[in-house]
This record gives sequence, structure tokens and C-alpha cells, in this order.
Amino acid sequence: MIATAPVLLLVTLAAFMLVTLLPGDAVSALLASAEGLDPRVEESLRLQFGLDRPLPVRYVQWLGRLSVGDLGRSLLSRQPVLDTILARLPVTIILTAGAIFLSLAIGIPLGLLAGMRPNSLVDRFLSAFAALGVATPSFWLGILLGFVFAQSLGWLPSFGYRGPVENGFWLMAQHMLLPWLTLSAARIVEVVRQVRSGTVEIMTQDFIRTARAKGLPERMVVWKHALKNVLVPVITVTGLAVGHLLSGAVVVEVIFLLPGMGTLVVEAVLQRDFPVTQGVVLTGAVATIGASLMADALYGLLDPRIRYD
Amino acid sequence: MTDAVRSAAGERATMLRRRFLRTRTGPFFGGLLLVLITVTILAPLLAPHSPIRQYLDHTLEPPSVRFPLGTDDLGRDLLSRLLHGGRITLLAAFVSVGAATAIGLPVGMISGMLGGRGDIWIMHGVNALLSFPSVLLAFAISALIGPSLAVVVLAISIVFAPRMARFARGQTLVVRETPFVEAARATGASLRRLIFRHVLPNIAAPMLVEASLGVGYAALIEASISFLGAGIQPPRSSWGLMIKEGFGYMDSAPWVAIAPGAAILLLTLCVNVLGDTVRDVFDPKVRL
Amino acid sequence: MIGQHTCSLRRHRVAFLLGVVALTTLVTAALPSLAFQQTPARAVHIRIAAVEPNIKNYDPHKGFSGLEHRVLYAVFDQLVRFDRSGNFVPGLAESWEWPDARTLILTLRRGVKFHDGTPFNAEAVVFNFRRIMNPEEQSIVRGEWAGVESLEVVGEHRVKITLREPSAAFLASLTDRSGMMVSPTAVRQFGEEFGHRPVGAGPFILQAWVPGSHATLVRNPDFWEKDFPKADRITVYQFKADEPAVRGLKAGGADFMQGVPAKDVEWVKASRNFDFIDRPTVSALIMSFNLTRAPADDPHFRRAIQAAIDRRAILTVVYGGIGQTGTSLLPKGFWSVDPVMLAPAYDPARARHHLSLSKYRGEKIGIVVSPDDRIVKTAQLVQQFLGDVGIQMEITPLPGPEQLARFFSGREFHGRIGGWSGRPDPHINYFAVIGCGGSFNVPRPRGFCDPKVDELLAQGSATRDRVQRQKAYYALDLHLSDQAMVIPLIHESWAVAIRKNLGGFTPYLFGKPIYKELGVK
Repeated sequence: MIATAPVLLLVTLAAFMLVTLLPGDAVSALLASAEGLDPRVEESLRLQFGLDRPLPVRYVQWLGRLSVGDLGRSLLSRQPVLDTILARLPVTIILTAGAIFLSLAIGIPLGLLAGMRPNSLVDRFLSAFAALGVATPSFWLGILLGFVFAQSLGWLPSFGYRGPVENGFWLMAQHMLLPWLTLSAARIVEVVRQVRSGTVEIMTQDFIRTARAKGLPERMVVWKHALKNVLVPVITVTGLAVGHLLSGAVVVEVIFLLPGMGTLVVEAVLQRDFPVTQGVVLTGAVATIGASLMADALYGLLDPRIRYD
Repeated sequence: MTDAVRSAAGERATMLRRRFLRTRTGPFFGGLLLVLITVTILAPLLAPHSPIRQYLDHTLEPPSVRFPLGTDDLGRDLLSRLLHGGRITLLAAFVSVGAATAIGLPVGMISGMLGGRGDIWIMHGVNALLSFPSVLLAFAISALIGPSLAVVVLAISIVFAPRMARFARGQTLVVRETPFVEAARATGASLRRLIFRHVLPNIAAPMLVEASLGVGYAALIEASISFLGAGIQPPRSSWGLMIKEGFGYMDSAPWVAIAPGAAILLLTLCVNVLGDTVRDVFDPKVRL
Repeated sequence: MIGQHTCSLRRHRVAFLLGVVALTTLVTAALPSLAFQQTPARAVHIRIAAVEPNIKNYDPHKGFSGLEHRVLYAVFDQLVRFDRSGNFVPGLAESWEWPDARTLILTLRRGVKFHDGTPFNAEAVVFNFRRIMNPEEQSIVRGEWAGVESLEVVGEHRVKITLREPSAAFLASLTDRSGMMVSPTAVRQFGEEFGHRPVGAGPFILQAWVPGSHATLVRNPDFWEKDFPKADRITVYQFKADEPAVRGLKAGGADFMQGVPAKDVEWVKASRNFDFIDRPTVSALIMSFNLTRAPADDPHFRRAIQAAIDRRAILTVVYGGIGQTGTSLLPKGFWSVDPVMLAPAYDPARARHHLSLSKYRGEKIGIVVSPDDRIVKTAQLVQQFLGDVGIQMEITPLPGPEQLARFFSGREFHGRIGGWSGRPDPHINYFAVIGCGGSFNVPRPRGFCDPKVDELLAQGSATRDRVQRQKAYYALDLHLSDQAMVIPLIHESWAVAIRKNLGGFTPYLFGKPIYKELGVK
């Protein structure tokens, strides 16, 4: 388990350095974007942003504001960064959570199927498919899916986000299906691999053989015993994969016009909106840490061996 | 080194080679990867045209004898762009993973051998860097510095270095517990000597596998950030950029985006399968 | 994961609960901000696919991008408007008069209310003007008000503006951001938030805006022009790139798109669902230079560039033949452009000749471009044309703010290929690009000052008589072309796809769509 507090501290340091050490600072970006601004304003802005103080002092001050939820204001929209991020966060959470659900819902049965009959035709087909799946760039897949299912077949909308609160679950799901599939593809493949190898290993173990010897039907044996033992590691690894999913979400959101953190960071980075960039990068890291923390905790709750420590 | 040790090492190498050849997928995808690398290295000799020459009367032409993979929207030969773009994609992937290994490997080994507080804090730093989503971090770094090939390589290296460090540390911890290292430590061997004589030779093979798997992932990151507009810049080409340039033509001229997409897929496929195979070859528990 | 087994159960539970609590808080905190109301049944609802990759601020006086205008025109009415031929027509100002060349008196429309119900009157107008002129507000259009000496309320619905010098262009600025009237009450209430909750007196009310996704405009029932807006509700989907936007159109998720990429024009024309409209705009794609930096300071070198570029090929390959090749900053057909003036010819031999007379010695020249698909493609074509006559050019795509910091400051690069979004009055255009002290003249803040340019600019702005002004601008165009100080490449036509049952849309010369006119045929 990661010691969370020091890692979080180092994360803030890295996020601070990301926008502090790179060329160009907030004030020159602000000046450049405002046409006809008085050059004398520059000095007062520098003071206002505290750019005249030494780096460590600025870091500590920034950290102080951060601890009360003050991430600063966007240079361009002049909105508080925290509000901007909170407005975008649910979309990314829905996107990522849906992708996790799909990856488990599709990946686990397929993995069991392959693992119970190793080297069968199904197994071979699935492994070949898995190898391809890992190697496919997600944006490429997203474009293809959009082209086939939205444009050519017209089954699903090609873009847009409908919040579940105002529009209901189904309208939301309709709009999210292609993004979910795109984002989960690589995860599905990982889950299949993991479940398969777990199943293969467990099928040869004593307690399964015992269960079989007791005359329980094979299907029940698998579901009751193997599944539980395979699931625990799958779920924990899924928690650790949240970082990957957030990476993929950037591209998927851009392709399907989802107003999440990904589109936000693309807007912010390309226009040098430093406070927003910093906020999104920081949130991404915190979410990753939070997810792995939860994965650790789930592992503790689910794994029976720990209970008898 | 005594003759006995040398012959034992030789025997092990022969055994590994046999195991590798027995896998069939290993040699096949390894060969394919070699072909891919050779072809892109030789791009200037093999490409029928300049990758940036625009034949303005031949835009978006389907594959033909003159343009074997067709042309793009500015009338450039896609085969030539694919070959030259592959050079950049492969270069970016290999160099950045190489640089990441060069940084991560020593950090990981030292951290693992040090143990105690030093190890803990180094790992905190590594974990902090690892918690940034990779594409997000690489994209932000590259776009904020100002995208170019060197910056893309730098960004991917920063993303990968902590991964390599963590892996190297994990491997080092395993080696550290082995009797011969324990013995060497007991005799008071220096850290430097321990690392070079004992740790490095033992973790080199798994590191190589890890790095090779990283190459595939690095190529995907390069493609993603080029796709988002913060990677390789035109008129240069990379496979990610070519997909970006081509994806508007899916219905009218699908060949523009399909060729680079297939190329990336092939590269990552080769690298991944090869990495998995080599891992199995080194793992005595796996029957081949 | 070996270490995990040693952790105690209690610790796991605590961590897990903490995680759940944190995530739930985040979700519930964020949900209300996304809520917006439902559409009334059978209302006319039009969905627009727009490519607007930027961060936006819908405060007309503080925004920074031409892409914001689409929503700004819908939410804010202007004091003065342009009709389709470029003549001033009344907007929120019912009429105006010039008692002398330095005094402008606006008579305001009566009975107009802002969306928040507060009255629109002389006080509100002066509040707007003062807001723009206040240096602390950092308004993007403050420069347009530098020549204003005083403001005065001369009645409930009359405002007097006194200028330091006669200016023909001043009225034109009231058709743009400077003339967009914001509700003083809302500004006081929302402060910095105003850019996200804009309140004007325009045909539409911004009902919801989800940054990064869409803006929902609903009709303003109290709009003073009773025939407008035609639609009850307009949703503007703000895409990051052309491709997903076009895919939205093709998949049936959108009804209207302005700026269809060249490659999809044929599709729109052949489509059973969409009509195709194409009209020229005042926007221009230009190549401009840092005229103080060698070798771009050498007229021979610039003439070589001017003759080396095949504009026709750019128009065909990049713009699908939609639009016109550039002769002036403004397109042919605009009143200030000489209809018989010829575009500089594509003549590589001439280019080589000029190059041999120039001080260019084979060094790489750096050209900065906006990271826009069409502009980057154009730059690559230009790169090849220049390469063919022996000029090595390097392309650096940079986003707006960075261009300003690195190119417009004069620090780096020799030139720029980029869009000039075009302003309603010729003076504003020429002054910004090449006038002494113009905001696009490099290096800032003064730029390159050419006495002849300044003299002709002064002539063009000294009078409101069109024939007199024409004379000055015809001469200015000839001078600019002779010196190749700015090289106009293309005047883009906005290619519009509009669903067949919709109509009422005729693009204005200024290129920005006026959504109030969109409706069912």
C-alpha cells in the first residue's frame, strides 16, 4: 500500500513544478491573450501572482491555498479552477466508471470461457483478439466505431453528452455507449488475460479437485470457488488501472465531444491556461491515488486470507 | 571466471535459445519487428518519393503503381510518408524508453539496495510521478514546452522513467535476498560493486523485456499526443500524425488513415508478443 | 502487492470509506452545475455543429476570441449594426447624428429591457462605455476607445460621445464588441462570473452553457424586433476539431454547420438532407512579416515570396475551390477594394529574379502558424512553393497566446501565416495589420512604421465620404502590394450546410453567423 500523505505532497510539488519550471509564465500568457493591455499592468500582475517571490515561498503559499480548495482562477474564462473542474468531473467519472463496468462485464465471462478450456479454439481466438486489442490505439478505435455505428449504420449518436440527472439513464447510456466501448477495449483485453490465467491456475488446485470429487456439477464448482478467487485480483488490478483509463479518456472525450476533464485539459494546455492545466493534472493524479487506495481497501475486504491473519 | 562457470553460462544461453525457437510466435514476431525496423531505417533508400513532396495534381489518389499506398490530401506519397514517419515513431519510442531506462534503472537499483529511509523516499517520488495519468502528463509537458521531436522524447521519457525505476527496484529486492548477494554484503562489498557484479547481471534480462513492452506503449503515447496536436509537427510525419491527418477521409479515402493505423498496430503487436514470449522463455516454470 | 497481506483490516475499511466519501462528495458537488431545463414540446429546435476549440468567455468586453461572436451576437444586441452590403443600420441605437466631426450623439431605442428585466437606457450605455474605458477592467477593446475624450448622458435615451480627432471608423466599432450592451445590474451582481452568465438585450437568452460541450440559447420573448428570433431554441455544439463535427452532421445529430471543410463540400452538395450555401467573408488568410527583421525587411525578398506562391493551387487543394484568391486585405466586392486590381501573379522566374537582388543568403526563415488544419496545410504548400525558388522556410505551429508572446513581440520568427478575422471597417483592418502602433503590426507595441501607409490611413479615416475613402484605400492596396508588406493569400468563403427544412439564413460579409435569422422555412 502506498503511503498516501508523502506521495500526495510530492504530487503537489510535481504539479507545481510542471507549470512553474516550463517556459512562459501565467502573466505573459495573460498579457499575450489580452490585446492592447497596458505594459505597466504587467508589473502589478506579477506582484498579484507573486512571481517576484522565491520559488519555495511560492510553493508553500500555493499549497496553503490548495489546502482550502483554492486552485486559482482560469486566466481565460476567469472562473475559479475548482468550479471549472467540478463541472467537468462527473462526465469523466461516468465515462471511466462505465468503461470499468463494461470491461468487467465483458472481460470476466470471456476470460472464464477461455480459462476453462485452455488451448481450445475459443481460447486461441480470444488470445489472438486480445493481442490485437492491446495494440490498437484507442483514438483509432474510437474513430472506427464512430464511423461504423454512428455514421454508416446510424444506430447511435456520434457525439454529445446527456447528463443522467436531467435526461435519464437511457439517453445518457445511448450517448455514452461508443465512448465506453472505445475506452474499455484495452481493459477488456487485460481482464480476459488475467481471468484466463487465474482460472487455468485455479482449476488445477486442490480445493477445486475436492469440490469436483464431492460430485458438485462443474459449472457450480467454477462459479462458487474459482470465480471468487479469480475476481479479487481482477478487481484490485482494475483499481490500479484507473490512471490508464484517465489517459485514454483524454482522447475519447475529444473524439466524442464529452465535456469532461480531457477536453478541459486540451483546451487549457493549448491556450496556456496554466492554473487550469495544473488543476486538471493534479486532479488526475489524486484520482489515480484515490482509486488505488480503494483497490487496496477492497482487496483487504474481499480477500479471505487477510481476514484470518 | 572459471571455465566451468563459462560453460554453464554457455549452456544456459543455448537452452534459452532453444526455448525461444520452440515458441514459434517468438521468432515470427521477432523477425517481423526486425523487418519493420530495417525498413524504416532504410526509408531514405526505399521510399519512392520524398515524404514531403506535394504532387498537387495527384491529391487523394488511391493506391497505384506510382503511389503504391495512394496519396494524401496534399498529394504526398503515403508509402514514403509511412516509411519516414515510421522512422520518427520508432526513434521516439526507442530513444525515450532507452532514456527512461537509463534514468530509472540506476535509481531503482540504488533504491532497492539502499533500503530504509532512502528507499522509502525515492519510492514516494516514483509513486508520485506514476500517479499522473501518462497521456495527460506527456501531453501537458510537450504542449507547454512547445512540441518537437526532442520534446516528445523528453515527455515520454519522463512518463516512463518512474515505471522503469519501480520495476528495477522490484527486481533488485528479489536479487538482494539471494544467498550470493547476502554473502557479498556480509563480506562488506561496496554498493557499487554489488550493483555491477550481482544486481545488474541478474536483472538485465527482465529489464530488457520490460523495456521492450514499454516501446509499444511509448509508440501509442506518441500517437496519442500527436493526435491531440502536441506531438510531431507537420510537415514531418509520424504514424500518429498521419492518422490525425487522415481521419477526416474515412469515407472518401480510407487508405490515408488505414495504413498508419495498421502500422502502429503491427509495431505494438510485434513488441508485445515478443516481450511476452521472452518473459516465458526466461521463466523456468512455463512449459514451452 | 506482497505487503498488502500484512495490513490490518481496520485500516482498509477506513481507507475505503474515505475513498467512497471523497468520490461521492465530488459527484454530488458537481451535478447541480450541469442541470438545465427541458425544451417545450414542438418548439423549433436547431442543433448547430460548430468548431470552437478554445476556452470561452462570453463577456463581450473581456473575451478574446472571434469564435465567441456566434453566441455574443445572439445574447447581446449591438448599438449599431451592419446590413448585408456593409451599411450602418440602427440597432439598440435608433439613430445617430454627427453635429460636428468630433461629436457623435446616439438616440437609444425606447422600451428595451435586458434579459434580467432591467431597463436599457442612457445610463446603462454609459456604464458599458465606462467599463470598457476603465484600465482596471482590462477590456480587450479598450484600444478602440483611446480617441474618446468624454461621455455624457444628455437625456434618458440620448448619449453624447466626444472624440479627440475625427474618426470614420469609430461608428464601426459600435457594431462589434464595443457596441454590445451588457446589463449593468448583472455585471454588478456576477462580477468575474459574468463571462459565464452573460446577460444582454439580444434575441436569445443563454439558458445553459456546458463548457467543452454546448451552449443552449432560448428565444428572448421580449426582444424588440418582433419577427426575431425565428427559432425557439438553438443548441450550439462546440467541437474541438472538424472531423467529429462533420461526423455529427453526417450521422444526423446536427442541422447546421458553418465552415464545412473543403473535403466534405461535395458530400453536402450531394446530400438529400442538406442545402449548401457559400458566401465570401471579410476574413482573410494572410502572410505577414516582422518587417524590421532581416531578410524580411528587404522588399526584394518579400516580392520574391509574393511571386513564388501559387494562390490558385492553395485555393483548390486546401479550400476545395471555395472562396477567392487574395489581392487585398479585404475581398473583391467589398467597397474599399478596387475591382480591377490584379492579384500578384504566380511567377517563379520573377521570384528567382527578385531573390537574386535581395540580401537573402539561403538561411532558414521561420514562419509561425496557427495550429488550424487549413492554415497548417496552406503553410506546407507555401513551404514547397518557396523551396522551389530557393527559400528555406520552417513552419512552427503555435497557439494564439504563444504567437503573441514569441512572434508579435518581435523576439522570434520572420513571419506568420494566419487568419485575419476581418473587421467591418477598412480602417480598422489596415491599421491593425500595418498601421503604426497597430495591434498586429510586429514588433509590438509600435510595429514597423511606414510613412506612406500612415499618410494614406489618415486620408482614409479623415472623412466619411465613401468616394474619398475609396481613393485612399485603392492607393494603399497598390502600395502594400508593390512593397509586398502583407501578402493576402485566400479569402475564405464559409461553406454552410443547412438542413433542407431550415431557411432564413444568409451569411453576412463578416463571416459570423447571425443565429436569430435561422428558422423553419
